[in-house]
This record gives sequence, C-alpha cells and structure tokens, in this order.
Amino acid sequence: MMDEKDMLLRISEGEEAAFHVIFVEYYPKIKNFLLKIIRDGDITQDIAQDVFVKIWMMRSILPEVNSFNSYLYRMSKNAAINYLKSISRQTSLNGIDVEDGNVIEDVLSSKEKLSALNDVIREMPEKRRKVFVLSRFYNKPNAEIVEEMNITKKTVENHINLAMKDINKDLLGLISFFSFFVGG
Amino acid sequence: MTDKDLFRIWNLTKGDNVSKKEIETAYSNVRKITEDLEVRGNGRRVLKIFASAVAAAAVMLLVSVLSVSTYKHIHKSDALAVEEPVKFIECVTGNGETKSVSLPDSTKIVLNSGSVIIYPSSFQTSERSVYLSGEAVFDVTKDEEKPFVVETSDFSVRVHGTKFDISAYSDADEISTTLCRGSVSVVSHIDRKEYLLVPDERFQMDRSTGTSQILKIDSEESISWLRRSLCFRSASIHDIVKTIERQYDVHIYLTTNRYEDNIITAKFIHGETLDELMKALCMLTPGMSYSMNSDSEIYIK
Repeated sequence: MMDEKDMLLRISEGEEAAFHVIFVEYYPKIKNFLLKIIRDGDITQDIAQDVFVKIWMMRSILPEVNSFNSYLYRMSKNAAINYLKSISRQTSLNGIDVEDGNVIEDVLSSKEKLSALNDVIREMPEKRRKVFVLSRFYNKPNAEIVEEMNITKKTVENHINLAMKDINKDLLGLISFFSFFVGG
Repeated sequence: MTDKDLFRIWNLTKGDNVSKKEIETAYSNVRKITEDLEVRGNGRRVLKIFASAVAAAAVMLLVSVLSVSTYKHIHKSDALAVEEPVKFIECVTGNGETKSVSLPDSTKIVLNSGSVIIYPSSFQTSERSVYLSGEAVFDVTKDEEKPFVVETSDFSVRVHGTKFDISAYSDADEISTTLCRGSVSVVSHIDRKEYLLVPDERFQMDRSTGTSQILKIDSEESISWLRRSLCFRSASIHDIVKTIERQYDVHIYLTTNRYEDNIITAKFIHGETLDELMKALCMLTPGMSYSMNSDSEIYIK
C-alpha cells in the first residue's frame, strides 16, 4: 500500500495505473464541487475531465506539490472561474492573470503547448524545477522562496532565469509563430 | 465569497452519487485527449516547418491535423461494433495437470491444477475480460487501448503491466493475486476499493472475513509451481494438504487435528516424488507420520 506522495511520484514518471487510482478517487469530488459553482451536469463533467487532462499533461511538477488536496482545489477553482469568464458577457477578457513572465496561465489555456512544457519541466535539474514551480505555479514571491529553500536571493533569481530560458528555447518557436501570424 | 469560504466548501464536498460507469467513461475520455495531445506535442517540429509558409495555410494545417486525429478516434470506436457473434471458450485442468492457453490477443496463460478459465473467442468490447476460478499465471500482451481484466468471484484484477499470478480457488479461505512484473490494480468486490500493486507484492483476501491486505513477498516463490516446484511459507497444514492434492492428484486425509496450529515453511524444488515430499513433511513436523494405500489415498497421523 502506498501513500499519496508515492502515488504522485509514480504519476510524474508517467505511470498510467497510478493515475487511474487517483482519478477514481478524486473525480467524483471534483465534479460535485464544480456542480456547486456551475450547476450544469454536462459541462461540469467536461471541466472535471479537463482538470485531469491538465494534471496529467503537467505531471512533471507533481513531486514538488506538497498538498495534493490544495493543488486539486486550485485547479478546480481556476477551471470553474475560466469557464464562467468565458461565458460571461464581458468583453474585456484580456487574458487571465497575464503578468509579465507568467507563462503558466497562457500555456494552460493552450493545450498543445502543455506536452512541450511538461517535457521542459521534467528535464530541469531538481533545484531549478522546485524554484520554478514555487514561483510560477504557487506565485510565491522570491523572498518567500529564499526562506523556504534556504538559498540566496541571487540563487533564486538565477534559477528562474535559467528556467525561463529553458522554456523559451523550446516553446519559442510555437509561441512566436502564433503571435506573429495570428497577431498580438 | 472569499477563497477561504470556497476552500471550506471544497473540503466538505464528498464524491457521492457518481456512478462507476460515469467515472470510467470520464477516464477513457481523459486518456483519449491526453494521448491525442501527446502525439500532437511530439509532432510540433513538423508543424513548425510547415507552418512557417503562409499564415492562412498554417492555420488550416492545424485544423486539418485536428480533424484527422478526431476522425481516427471515431473510426476506431466504430470498428469496435463488430457483427460477428462471440463464442466463449472454457479451459479446464484436473488435479495434477497444468495447461498453457493462448488468448485471442496472444496473451499467454498457464493454468494450474484444478482451475477453470473462460474467455471469448475474440476481444470485441472496450476491455479484454476473462474469468478465472483456480490459479493461473498471466503474461499479458500490451494494449493501451484495451485494458485486460481478470474476473474472479471475489475480486477483479485490472492489468497495466504484464506478468502476475492469481490464486482464486473456490475452496480456499485465502485468495490472492501476486505481481511479478509491471503493475496491476485489484478491485475487491466486497469493499469496492482499488488496490495498486508493484512487483513482489501480493493482494490477499480472507474470504471468511472479507478483509484484504497487501503483503511483500518473493514473487518467484509464488509461481514456483510453473517449474513443478512447491513453496510453502508459513502455511497451515490445510493449505499444504490441498496444494499437494491438486498437484499430485491424490486424496489426503488428516486423521487428527493435532496440526491445526502448525505453521510450516518448506521449499520443494527438486521435483520430489509424492513419497519424498510426505517424508520431508513428516520430518519437519514433530510426531507426524503417514501411510498410503493402494488407491493413492494418504492418511496423516
């Protein structure tokens, strides 16, 4: 019998069986949670499935996740909010949380890039990945990362720079092509 | 509503009222989507080269790639609705014999003595499903599209890896499945929980209490019967008697219940004869003796 940490590790390594176990355990909860917010049975099924697609496509970050429960909550909440925004009549939806350098929301909304991003993250050395996940997934300010990982401010900044270089190197082709041809 | 309130609602939310069918349908949708994305993700270099031509053409290329892969999936599921009627094949072994069986997907099964396996002449549904009573070792052909499921009377084994043993004799108190290689998950019909196994683990269920547990074992020992060896580890006299009966096709009668509490560990790997085996058993167990009559019936005293 293994605990959740082991399960997440195995999923991050691409093991389908472990993913299935987690899926069966959490899909009903996520669906019921979404139902409370969205109230449409068919749509919530699609959104719940979407959450798991993202979990799988971004599995390389799972070893850095401390509380899977909180992680699922945030994924589900964001998925619900994104859906509600997409059907709202407001036209001023200029991307969601697109701060400078926050590549994650951009990419999560474009599934094609997920696989590539997952590969890049998986290839990163452990410390770099950890800093990257804390900074870009958990949106922790650098000062907090310094505290948590017990490293210097300069080291944190280096890791983030190198991580962004890795990402841009691999995804730049796709990202720049899209912005060049599609505009914006 | 604040995030804190929403988080509290999340924690209070349970997973009730979602049917197993819905869960599995949702799961296979998720798999289809991720497989599709991973193929497309790998193909991105090709996409880049083609796409740097003309804007409009590039956008259309993306669209056509999308529709081709969707079409492939629909087409595949159409292919599942085959007209040809399926026959069920039953393979039975008596005591003292083992049989090798090859399933329609090339999965290899070795059936131990006193076992029955039932399988369809072709695998036409979304899962490859077989039924087992008794014991068998499975070497499953990999097919990501169609999971392999073994049904026994008390639990199902869903296969993700390749090699494992299932021991589900109808007259046994303890039934189990032991994983040698790959990974499987076991669903108990009693508590409906899913247990994931890694190699050298055994899922064991006590039929009388309905409880299940996972043990760490040496899987090579568990499938030693493949090589005509017998391994007993902390076994009761009843388990041993039953196993010997099956392997050697004899009847064994315990004339005393002196040995009820004995725990016996022994390995017989040299192709011992029945006599040699019984002699060794008696040597291991203080006070035990046996006799055999002309009808190959053994009495343990």
